[in-house]
Amino acid sequence: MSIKEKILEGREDIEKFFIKIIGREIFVPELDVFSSRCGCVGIMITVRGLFTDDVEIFQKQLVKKLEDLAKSFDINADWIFIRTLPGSDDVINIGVRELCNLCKEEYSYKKPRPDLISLKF
Amino acid sequence: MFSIPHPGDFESLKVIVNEIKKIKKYDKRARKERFEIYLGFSEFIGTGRATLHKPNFEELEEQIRYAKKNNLRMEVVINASCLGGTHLTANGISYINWIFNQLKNIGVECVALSDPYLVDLAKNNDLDVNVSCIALVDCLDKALFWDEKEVYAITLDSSINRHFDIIQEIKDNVNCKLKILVNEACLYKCPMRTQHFNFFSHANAQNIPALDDYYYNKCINLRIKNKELIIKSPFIRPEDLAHYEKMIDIFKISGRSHPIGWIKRVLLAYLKRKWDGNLMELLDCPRELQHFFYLDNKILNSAIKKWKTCNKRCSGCNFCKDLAEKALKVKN
Repeated sequence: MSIKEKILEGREDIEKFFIKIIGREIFVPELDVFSSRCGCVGIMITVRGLFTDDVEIFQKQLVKKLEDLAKSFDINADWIFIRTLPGSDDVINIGVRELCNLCKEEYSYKKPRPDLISLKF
Repeated sequence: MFSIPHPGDFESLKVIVNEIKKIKKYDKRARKERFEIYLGFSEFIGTGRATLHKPNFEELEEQIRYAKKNNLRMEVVINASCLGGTHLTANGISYINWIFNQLKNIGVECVALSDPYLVDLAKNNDLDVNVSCIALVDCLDKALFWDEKEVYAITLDSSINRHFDIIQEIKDNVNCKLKILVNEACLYKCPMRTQHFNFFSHANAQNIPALDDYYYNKCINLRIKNKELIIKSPFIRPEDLAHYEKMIDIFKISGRSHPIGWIKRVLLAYLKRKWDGNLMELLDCPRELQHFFYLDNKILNSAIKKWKTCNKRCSGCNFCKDLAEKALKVKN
């Protein structure tokens, strides 16, 4: 499978996964596979309609799903996190990241920044 | 005294408190040091920086209790550079008075403000006031204006961080404490400073769905194009704090919207007054550039001597440009 097909499939797959486990419409408008200048590589998923309560309930399944997704891109899921809209329970991004040493130092906390919640670190 | 950035949530506060306790155990200098913590409070009035967590009064009260128990002073930052005139309406005045009264009731000692009218309202509510760097106090006349309001402290505009003559003149003529931002590292005399603060002030308080932060992107691009601007930005190295000690009462670390691991690193470096390696890792404003540039801290060892006597007429001097060539490299 080409990288392009894999990314397309990954986005669709994660959207279907959410709809199935949560039981309502969740929109995944974008899935990005990225590399950073620092040396981190990862996946960033934009989500709409997901809330922190949903993540809390299905955390175990979600982490497993994201680990598998990362593995399919040959990425180690060192850090899995969600980003919320400041002051709200709306989840707007889900990140999976193979961390460089500097980012490991900065982000390896349960809540490294008030808008980030680590599901695995 | 050190002023430490707090992202606003209880978990971050606990990390900061634990870190201070740990440092005090093994560092003699840190044992004698006093600390204050500042956090943004963007409700209605807004602040000049991104606020990633907005504690309500109840949570804030709990955090203040915890901070006091650990001998930390807590400062609430309400330093929007623009309030859009709402503060001078009947509703605005009542609301701000109510907020200040609530803050006082839950144990807040000090608020950081940038608007003189708000300073008067805060003083009427028996709150200490720290004049925010957003008030852009860069000369004696401005400092005297605030000092006459009997404020607790003035945070100097970072553009004068390397104007030792101006800082000394202010020190000699005011009664309040002086605070200085040590690692903000914005552009020297940034032409976009006011607009950027205005943008944040409104975006924070009103949740404006802005498409992009033009000023930030522009700032980063300017530095990539001309790396001399990084050297000229008025940061103070941990090793150079001693040069400020007689003039400055409080060293303020900037960066309340960054991850707690970064805040911890910067706090440790400034407390130890020592940093080996890439100085970019301590600078707030262009944090993303820590991955692009390596700024060799050792090469900057004696630069402070030049900056102390510098007349800031850059067109006739290549000191910072030459230093940038020597000390600043693009990382592999």
